[in-house]
Amino acid sequence: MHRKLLLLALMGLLCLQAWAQERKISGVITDDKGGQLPGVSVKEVGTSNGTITTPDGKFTLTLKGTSKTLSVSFIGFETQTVAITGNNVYKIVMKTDQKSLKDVVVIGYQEVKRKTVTAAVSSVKGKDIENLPSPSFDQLLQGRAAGLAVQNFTGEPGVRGSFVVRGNTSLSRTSSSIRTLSSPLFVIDDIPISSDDAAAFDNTGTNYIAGLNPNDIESVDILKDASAAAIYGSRGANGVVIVKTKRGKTGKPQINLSAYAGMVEVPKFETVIGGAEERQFKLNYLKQKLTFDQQETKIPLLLTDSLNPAYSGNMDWQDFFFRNGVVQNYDLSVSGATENINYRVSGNYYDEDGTIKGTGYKRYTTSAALGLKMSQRVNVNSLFRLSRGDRSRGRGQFPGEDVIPLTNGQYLSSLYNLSERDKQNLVGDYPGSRDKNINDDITASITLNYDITPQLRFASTGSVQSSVNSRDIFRPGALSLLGLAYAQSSRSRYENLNLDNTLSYYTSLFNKQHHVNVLLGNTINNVKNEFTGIGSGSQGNDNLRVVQGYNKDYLLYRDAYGNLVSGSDYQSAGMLSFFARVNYDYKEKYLLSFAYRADASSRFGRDSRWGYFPSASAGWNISDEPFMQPFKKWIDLLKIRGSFGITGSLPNGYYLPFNTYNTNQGGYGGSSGVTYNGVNAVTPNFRDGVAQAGLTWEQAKQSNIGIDATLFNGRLNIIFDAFNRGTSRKLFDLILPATTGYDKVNTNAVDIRNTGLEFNIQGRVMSPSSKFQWNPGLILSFVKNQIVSLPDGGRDIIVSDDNLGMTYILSKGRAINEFYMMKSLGVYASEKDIPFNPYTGEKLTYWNGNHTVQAGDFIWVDQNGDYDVWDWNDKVRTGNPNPFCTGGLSNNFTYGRWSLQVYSTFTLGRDIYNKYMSDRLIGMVNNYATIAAIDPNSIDSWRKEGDHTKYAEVIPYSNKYYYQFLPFSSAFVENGSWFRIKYLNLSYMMGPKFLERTKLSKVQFYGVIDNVAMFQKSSVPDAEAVDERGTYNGAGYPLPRKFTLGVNVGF
Amino acid sequence: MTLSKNILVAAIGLLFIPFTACKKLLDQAPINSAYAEVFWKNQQDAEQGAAGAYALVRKALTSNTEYNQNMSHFAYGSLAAFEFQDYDQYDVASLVKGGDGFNSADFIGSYLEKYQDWTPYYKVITQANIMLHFIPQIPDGQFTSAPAPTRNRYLGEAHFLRAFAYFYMVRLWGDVPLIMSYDPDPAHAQNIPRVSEKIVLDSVINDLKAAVTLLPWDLASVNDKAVRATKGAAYGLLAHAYMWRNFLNKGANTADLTNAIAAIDAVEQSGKYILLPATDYHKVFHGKSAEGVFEINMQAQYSEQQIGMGFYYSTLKRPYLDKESKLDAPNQDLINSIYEEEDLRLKYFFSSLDASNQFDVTICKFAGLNGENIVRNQQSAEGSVDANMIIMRYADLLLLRAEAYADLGNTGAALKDLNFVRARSNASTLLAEDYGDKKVLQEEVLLERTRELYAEGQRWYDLVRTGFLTNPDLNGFLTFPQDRYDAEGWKWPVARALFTSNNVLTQNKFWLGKVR
Repeated sequence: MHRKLLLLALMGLLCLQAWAQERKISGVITDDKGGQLPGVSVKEVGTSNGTITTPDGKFTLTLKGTSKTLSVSFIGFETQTVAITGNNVYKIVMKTDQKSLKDVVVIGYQEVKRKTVTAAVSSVKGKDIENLPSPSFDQLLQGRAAGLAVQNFTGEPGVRGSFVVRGNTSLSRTSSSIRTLSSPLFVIDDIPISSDDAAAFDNTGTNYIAGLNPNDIESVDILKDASAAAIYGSRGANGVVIVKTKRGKTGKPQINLSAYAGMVEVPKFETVIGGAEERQFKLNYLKQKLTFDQQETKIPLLLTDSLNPAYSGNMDWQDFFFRNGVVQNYDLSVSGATENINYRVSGNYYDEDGTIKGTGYKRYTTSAALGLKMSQRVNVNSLFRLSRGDRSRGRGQFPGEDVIPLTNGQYLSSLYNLSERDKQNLVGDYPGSRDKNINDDITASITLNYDITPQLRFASTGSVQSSVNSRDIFRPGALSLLGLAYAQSSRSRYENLNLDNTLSYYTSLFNKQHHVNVLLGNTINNVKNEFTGIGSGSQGNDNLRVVQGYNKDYLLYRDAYGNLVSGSDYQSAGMLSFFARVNYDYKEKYLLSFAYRADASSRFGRDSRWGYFPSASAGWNISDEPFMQPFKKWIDLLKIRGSFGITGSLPNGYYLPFNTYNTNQGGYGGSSGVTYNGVNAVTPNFRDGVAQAGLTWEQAKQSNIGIDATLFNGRLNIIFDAFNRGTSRKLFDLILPATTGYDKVNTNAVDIRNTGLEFNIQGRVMSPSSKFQWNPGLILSFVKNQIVSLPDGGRDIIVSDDNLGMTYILSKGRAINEFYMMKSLGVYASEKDIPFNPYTGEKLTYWNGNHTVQAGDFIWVDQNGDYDVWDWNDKVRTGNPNPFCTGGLSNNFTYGRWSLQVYSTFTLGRDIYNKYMSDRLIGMVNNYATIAAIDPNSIDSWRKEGDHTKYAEVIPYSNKYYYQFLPFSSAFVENGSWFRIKYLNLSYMMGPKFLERTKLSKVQFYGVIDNVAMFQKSSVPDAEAVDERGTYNGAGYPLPRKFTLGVNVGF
Repeated sequence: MTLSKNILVAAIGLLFIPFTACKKLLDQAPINSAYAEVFWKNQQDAEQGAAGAYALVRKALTSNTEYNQNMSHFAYGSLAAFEFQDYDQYDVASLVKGGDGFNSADFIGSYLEKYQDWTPYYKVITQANIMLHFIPQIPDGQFTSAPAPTRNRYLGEAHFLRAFAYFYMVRLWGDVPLIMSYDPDPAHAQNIPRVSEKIVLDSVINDLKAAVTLLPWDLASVNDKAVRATKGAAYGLLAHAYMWRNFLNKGANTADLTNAIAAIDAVEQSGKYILLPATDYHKVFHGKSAEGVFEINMQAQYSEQQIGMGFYYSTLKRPYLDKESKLDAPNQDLINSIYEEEDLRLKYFFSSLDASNQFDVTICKFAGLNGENIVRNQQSAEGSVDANMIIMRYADLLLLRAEAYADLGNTGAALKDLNFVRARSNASTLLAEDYGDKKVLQEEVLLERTRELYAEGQRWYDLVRTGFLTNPDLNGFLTFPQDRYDAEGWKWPVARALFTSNNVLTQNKFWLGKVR
């Protein structure tokens, strides 16, 4: 692809210029202080004819067209059009571009000028996230918007990371990774999508946002405070992310082709010892460490039987699973607009190989946006977008399996000699196996605008989004011990219908000094989730790769995680809303805004279904006051704004008012029966809880104070916000007394408070006339997360994660999901340090007296002073996994046509749990022979009397093992802060001469390095690849490094 | 302009859509599950709800420790009752061998907390209360069989199952909270304190009396034999309840004994039950036999058998199941001391009795001596036991009546029942002259119940009820301390988890300060 483009460019060079007899003009271009500007582009409008100014700001141009206008543009200045008069000499003064003052901000159903906005809104321009090698825009927003915390904790292409606005508010009595963190409402081209709804029947595990091509995005606005978000009422509590895609712009048709391709590099591996060397190394080590008896019995055949071909491998497991891949992206768009019609058609192909073999993500999208002006008063806009995401998951995985089929991410010994079949199976290459994992999204919307009077507009937008997620698996019988083939075919469909009607009225009164803007509207929204699927094992024929002719005994109704595999499901929920907003300003100096929304949702009982969400905000543009006149030289804009309001969030359940009954409840411990004596056993849904008629919205009351400042002729821009958001009536499971029969009730029971500060500082260091430009930017968000009240009189709640074995605690006054474990203070260096019980004279014991503490054991703090640690009373809070500070640091350098962007992002003040290490130590104790050989001396563990170390003594096959390495103690809690140089982006724009010769309007070459360097405190391989609850377990998908080269061509 | 007008009309029309579509949009009921408002409308709902109640009983009796020993019925009734001398599974082994300072029946052993939790029984009670509330509201026209007797049968089953759950709990924990009505708003349920075990037992007896009048002797479907409640089952449980009340009253009121006898007389006189010949013992344990009074269905017929991790599974190995080891070691001392050599039960209940390894001794009564009750199919390559969980059978009731007679001092009647049961197994006839001493007779009744009901989850309650728990001579020379028995240490502790959701609970006195 690149080669072809280059060829095209070269051919352009060969083109001969057409000669014509035309008039020649000249001139000088200066800034507003009279300084001459070099390098300014001067173009004759409607042609590709143009030039740039000389170092003393002069230019000459031979006119060729007929348009009689010049376009003068230079970075940092407003682009000007200059009429060509009879004169042949022009003196052009360029005005500094105070872009930030003119920016518009989308605040929901409307756009307003940045200057008059009274709400806290973070905006990211589509341009900033263009052409970066990432499948979805949510990942690209990391560090780009104050108040937004993004952790891309998985490197698996097409999979969702975490995306939290102004701190987490989600908490639960049980562990569920999907809903560990609260997520905002996304509004993509006017269609509101709740990620929880979309994920409810998630069949493919693919990030549903990945279907949107980041290069189609015009702007992203994140509504953070209540003033902005209240217009989305019941769904605004966790922020609203409004995405607008690109539309055609006035001018002649523009064809844009952009392509990049590059390499995805495997992350750095750990050093392991392999082959015969491993055997020797391990034997030596074990002989050193084991007693004679143990050597007789404990050393497995794997190490001793070197002649056995099954045990004489030299397998590099990391190499076996990982690979370097290719990432490529192609965008083609055609757009244009005339007076009555505007259009944009685009196509995109994105293909990223995962660094784990067999995984990857491909996306195909086409979209068409069309605007028609039907009369002076009526125009119609339509949008149609199709996308397919094809995320391959490697081996034909059973539902819920990991990509790498290893326990806890611990690699095995290199000595295992795997059969070809096993190898193929493990990396998903087994011939005949199949795992298709496809997301098909259709988005269509049509908007009608009718200007009843020039001031009064009626608009109606109808839209539909439909996502079909399909999963088709086949695993041949040869891969199963019992010879069972497995096939699954399932589809889930998420449908979101939305109709917005709005009336907007704008007027200015009394000499146009008072401006009033009124918006009234209503919304009808219905979301629907459907699932159909069937999965079955069989002694079938491997040529039959669909579910057909299977024995009913093997029909899989639910997988091991309780998700439906065979069957169909259907859920639907509707919402009816009315809303209003009034914006008022006097001379754009005093600003006031009120918003009100009423929502009724079918998810609640009849008497509690209406929710009301008011908000008010005010702003004062101090810089417009007469008394500020003396400072006018350096203060362009200074605004103080404040807001207060109420927003809500919808529960995940669709049918909360219903006391549902479960059928087929005959199952019991150790049985697969579903009936009782052949009769369908029906019971109330005791497990998921009893319905509550009075259940209502979770409510967030949020106040916000902000300052917007533009200083020094737009060279310094500061946005500051401080907020306090109290989320109350959080839905939470109350444990009911056993006597009710029900396990729990989901009720409005918990209050959370998030407070924080946000800074967005953007600067332009060099004077606009300098050829060299340096624009640094810093985004900083601080959030403090606190549980304000809990049910049951505020009693602490312990949350256990059965998969990880981790324990978290919810307690009043503290952050959500703090680690809850024994406090470890290091390792007893020697015998004499161990305390003993003064009453009995016996040494400290662990685990109900089962283990008497020795030198080399962890120092676990005996909190309750009973000389035994590890009972219920010795656990304490040992770390907070919620990030305290997140942000981004960008530095853009331009020199002439060269530009370099250095973009960094960071997370500070977070505790993480290094389960990778604790699992490794367990592995070394229990399975030293059979796991990958890592030099034990590289681990800081106790070896001999007097050692001061981080970890307790590790003895393979020891009977001294007292579960010390399980995730029970703070010995593995580390500082999870990190700073990553995320992108290096170097680009070069071809000059006007080249463009003239090639007849192209724009040619830009660029190279990007993604994931350049990582700086972190902790010893985990990647401090960002830590899950939502702050646990790094090694089974995750590492974040790769990517190198791409690309070109942007405008025709 | 006409275009604009049309659009305006359309737009105004659109504005009205919300009002007309409102109801449909906002009143969306689930179609992916039944819910209270649409259930309990006809006979099928009643039938399925009843099946749900039995399924909840089955779940309760096969509930789990933290190590997947899905066998609570046997753990409560047999493991602590000296029927085993070892059990090779850490959590339930403490019931057999003790620990934490107990020489047996360590109810607070690590990982046993789920067995201290009475939650599963309250699910049965809740379901029964719901049945008793809703089934009377089903219109006659919605019954496909004769409305009155059909409705009565379901109501009788609800009374029976509620009684069963309370009776089961009373024997384990003593005082428990008593909930006797349907709660339309469990979300705001009050914390209910425990009430005296005697009051609970009175309620059990009342429920059973109601069940006796409502239930039929014979069920319409032969397939329901013994696995659904009948008048016989209600009488049988009533007899057990009277016997337990007699124990709680320390024998102060002999009316309980005569009532128990009367209840069993009614069962006998119905003529519905017989003792199967010893050669057909496997049929008794397979279930739905003429000897079965009340059983929990666990048959392979509807794939309802327990495939793994249950009592039957854990206590068998080759040649019964295709696996190499089992977990239990039956108490050889007890077995050797109680059976006569010619007693056929030795042969039909046990195999490899002479094995040198205690873990090779096998209780084969459930599997059938020759594996008659073993099924092998695609779900379970190792095989599984196709046998119901026998809660009450005719022999059990006859021996219970013998106990009541013995307590009353009626040696002749007691021996008649004992000998009737013994005759089936070819055991020698017991003679009146040997049992002049009431205590000796009572001991003999206990031992006869042990012989007949070995490992059927009954012996613990027999030992507690008779007080012979503390007599080493009757327990294979293993002991349970008298002071613990006197302090009601035979009761289970109340699980810690229950206190967190109910702040008016109290712990059983023996376990105060002992539960971690």
